[in-house]
Amino acid sequence: MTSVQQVLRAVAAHGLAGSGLSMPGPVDDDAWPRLISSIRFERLEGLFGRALADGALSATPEQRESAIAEETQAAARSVVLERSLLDALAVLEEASIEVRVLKGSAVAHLDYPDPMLRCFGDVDLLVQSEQFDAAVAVLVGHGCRRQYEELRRGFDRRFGKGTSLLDQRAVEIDLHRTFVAGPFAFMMDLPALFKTRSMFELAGRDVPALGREERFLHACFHTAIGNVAPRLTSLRDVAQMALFPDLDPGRALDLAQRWRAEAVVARAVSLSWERLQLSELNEISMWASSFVPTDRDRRLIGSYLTKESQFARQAIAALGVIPGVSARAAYIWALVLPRPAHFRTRSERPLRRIARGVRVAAQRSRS
Amino acid sequence: MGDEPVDLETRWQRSPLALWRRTTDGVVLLPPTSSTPIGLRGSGALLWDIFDEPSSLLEAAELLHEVVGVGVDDLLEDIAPAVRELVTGGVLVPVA
Repeated sequence: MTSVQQVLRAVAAHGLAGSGLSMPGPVDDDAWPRLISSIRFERLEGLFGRALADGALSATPEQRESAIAEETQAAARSVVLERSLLDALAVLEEASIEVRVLKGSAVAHLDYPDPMLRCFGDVDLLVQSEQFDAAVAVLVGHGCRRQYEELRRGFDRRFGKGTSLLDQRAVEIDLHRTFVAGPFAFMMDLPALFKTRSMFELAGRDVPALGREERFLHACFHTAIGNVAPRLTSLRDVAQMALFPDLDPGRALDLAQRWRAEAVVARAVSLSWERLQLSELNEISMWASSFVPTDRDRRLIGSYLTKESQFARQAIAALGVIPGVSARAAYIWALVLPRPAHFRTRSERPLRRIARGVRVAAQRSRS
Repeated sequence: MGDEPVDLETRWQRSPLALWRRTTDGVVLLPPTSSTPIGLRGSGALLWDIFDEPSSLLEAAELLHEVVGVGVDDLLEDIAPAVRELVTGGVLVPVA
């Protein structure tokens, strides 16, 4: 492991009780730009600044200035994003659309001892499926531009994870209907996400976010299956929430069980504990360390983790869990015959992606 | 507000509509009607902490004097332009 990697992981774990990671020695000037670039990618600017201020990481005066500059830029980005968040929230609530703020600002204000420790790069909002199309229309009506057209009219509301828009400040607003695409989306109790909420304050406004355990589950989904390689910030989020004394582990695990997502939670917690070298044991970490996934769990999770044929594997896996023949037929129809507007905004047609994925999967099984 | 100086007695406080975030060496603010963040370091950041509670320019200088030990008159001369800028920018508002 390189020195830069050691620093990154130690920064991600800074302040967490029971982390066995210690900061390596000073980083030389040749490696410093690579470290800064990685800190930016991993969204660790706030923790990086705190580690320097706490004396956990040594730096030359010039290195310290560049770190502070990165942190200040990240803070500036955060407040601009929060302005866009508040604007989007205002127009949606005025249209009687119920919203929960996901990730980013919500986690920073609700789950970290100081919001400065958690940096983010976009705005994520969750709305209910039956209000999804209306929410898109409201945001577009207020100057947002949709980045990708949906496969067929109604697809995102019924089957999609959500859509991405750019507001008039060119801020990315990700409007979600569920936590992930693919099979796990169809096993979640989406209406239940709106039965609880946590509130935080921004610029004098009360802002709604998911309830604590739902927020933890979202962090687990994002870490375990949101990307092939999770960001260090995502791992930190899971650990930060799992170690918080107010988290109700019984309720969190009950939700995971009802959503058939226990393997997702176990994977996220195990990854966080392993990568951040946490020794602190609690009910959730002990449960995760002893959890054994089924073959079905492995297959479903695997559909999210292979970059090569990810779209195809998720689509095929989703067919196995979408309830109802007509819903499955509508899903396939949208994949086979998307609207022309969709593939004007995508580089490849869904059917070609699926066909390519099936060929790759077949080749892999023969080798 | 134009070019008028901030008087010593009017009490000001943080605008509740301002967005802000702390950094290692200061704060970053986004005024309610601007898309351009403002960065405050050193005594500027201390001012932001002081105006968490309603304070006049004179009260702010007296509080800063307790922290940094510099004379109140010298501090008034230093912080008046900064406070004026924060008022003009809309991040400090008069207390009703």
